Amino acid sequence: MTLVLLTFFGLLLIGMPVGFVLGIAGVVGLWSIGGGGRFVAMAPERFFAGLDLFPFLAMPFFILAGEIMNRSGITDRLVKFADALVGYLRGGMAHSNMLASVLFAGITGAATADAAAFGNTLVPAMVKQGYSRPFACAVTAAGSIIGPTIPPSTLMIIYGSIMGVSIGGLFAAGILPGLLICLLCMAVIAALARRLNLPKSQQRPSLRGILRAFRDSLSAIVLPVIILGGILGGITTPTEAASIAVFYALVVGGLLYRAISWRDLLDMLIRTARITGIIFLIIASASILGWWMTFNKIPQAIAAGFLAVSTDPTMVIGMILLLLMVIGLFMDINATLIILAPVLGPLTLQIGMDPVHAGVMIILALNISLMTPPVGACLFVLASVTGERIEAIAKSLWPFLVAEIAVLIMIAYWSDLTLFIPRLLDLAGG
Amino acid sequence: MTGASHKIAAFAATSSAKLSWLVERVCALLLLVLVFDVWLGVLARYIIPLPLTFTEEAARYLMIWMALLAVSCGIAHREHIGVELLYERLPPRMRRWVLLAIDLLALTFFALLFWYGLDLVDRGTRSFTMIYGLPKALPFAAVPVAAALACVQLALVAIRDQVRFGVEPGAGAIA
Repeated sequence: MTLVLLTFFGLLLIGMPVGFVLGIAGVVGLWSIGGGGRFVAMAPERFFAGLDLFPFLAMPFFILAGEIMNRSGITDRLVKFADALVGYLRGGMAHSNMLASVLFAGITGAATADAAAFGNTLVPAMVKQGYSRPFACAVTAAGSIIGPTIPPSTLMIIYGSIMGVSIGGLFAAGILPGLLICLLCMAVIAALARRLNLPKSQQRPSLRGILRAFRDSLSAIVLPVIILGGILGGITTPTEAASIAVFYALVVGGLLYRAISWRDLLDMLIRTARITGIIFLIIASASILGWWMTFNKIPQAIAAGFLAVSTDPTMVIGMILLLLMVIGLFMDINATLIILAPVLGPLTLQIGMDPVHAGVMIILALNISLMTPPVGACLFVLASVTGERIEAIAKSLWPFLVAEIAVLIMIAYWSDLTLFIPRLLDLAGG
Repeated sequence: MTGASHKIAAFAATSSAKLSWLVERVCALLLLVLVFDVWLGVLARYIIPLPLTFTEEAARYLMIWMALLAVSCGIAHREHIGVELLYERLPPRMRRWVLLAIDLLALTFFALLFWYGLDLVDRGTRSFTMIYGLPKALPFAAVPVAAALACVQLALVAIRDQVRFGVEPGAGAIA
């Protein structure tokens, strides 16, 4: 036990990639059970079994669809549409950045994708208009976590697959929290607009401009409707919907906009394979460690420890959120989810939470940890894309962080907020 | 640094890049087949009712092969990320040794995965998949094959970056 923990944190600290750390700690765990390495021989089987889940297929497909949509210039069209709607306000570009994150969320499942795409395009544009670069980065970081909160979401696919919770239900439950984050962050921008003297553009909103921008970005806005309609309507599985999204993106990007060459297609296939490889190594390695944890009944021990402190649901939820956000400070979120979901999932059931509600809460807490300094992945992506220092971004970030933690607390203690849409679609209750 | 070690490093760098180039194309092909396979499944389920039962099983195994092979490409490009907060603050000389330790430990992990993975494949020749009745050795083989590729890439990038560190101590190890 101590040996595994020491291995795990020691290797993590010296900077070993998370996917390797999990595997090595898992093997050390299997070896420490004893039996002269008999248990170590199980490692490859756990490694394989950790990936052998049909819903996981949705991940590479959503990544591929996002790559194709991005390459066909769809991000720019979405930004223009958002700009036509809210660009006239003081701090207009910050507002449209946030709104574009919501629109972009419907085609991407990972926050880092959003951070990279907007960090490359929107941040320089904002700086040109007179925003400070740290503030532009902070807005982008805050908006990027809307991506994996609004479906499709890689984390929801993982959580649903390993916990046996309806992925469609999680997808539906993520919509309102995602919109709420956008709303609160826009409120923060509005509140800061005068004090920071954010730029105001001269343009007036015109109905014709809005309609034209809407028409130009229609092809991108239709995609989430297809994806969600299929899954939430109970017609297709998430994997099938994701494969349809790839088909749609290819038709739009390749035939309609003619923006994709064969060479591009090869590049995107390779990029998708490599991103999938990185995520799947973490999942597969984590399932070795996860098996060791189950064997030693560690999830039960942690749950019992929680309940020994308090059995009051309010307190337990508070402790869960605290644990997730602290661990999220320094751990990869996919790994945290795979290791902690089997621990926290049953605990939330014990205190009477709906599995879909609990899933969305856990995922949102992890998403927020993506933008918390010092090692939030979105901050890293933004810093490397824009050249801004993480410390500087962090200083502009905290009002947004407070807003998002407020959303998290609302989600955690007010279940209707997440369950309203799933109930409407008859998808709640796993 | 001697000329010989330069030659070895250059050889390791080229070999790593070439191997990764090849594996990337295999992964792209697997992904392409995977996409068509799932499209075929959708077609059979919703549009033309064909009695296709293999698509789901094939999709899972294609996905696992694709993703696990791609792990070695991630190693070649040093794309598997860790928490580098402390690592970045180390003096270059120490960074070199820490990186070597990380690579060697990872190499040990994948070597174990390869060795015991062979057993898994061996057991897999005697059990069969649920739907299509293929020997499970076929999907299981992805584990030792991918682990072997990972070992080769780890060794190559370790040599590449150790020599590079020796030449320019301030250099980062990211390719």
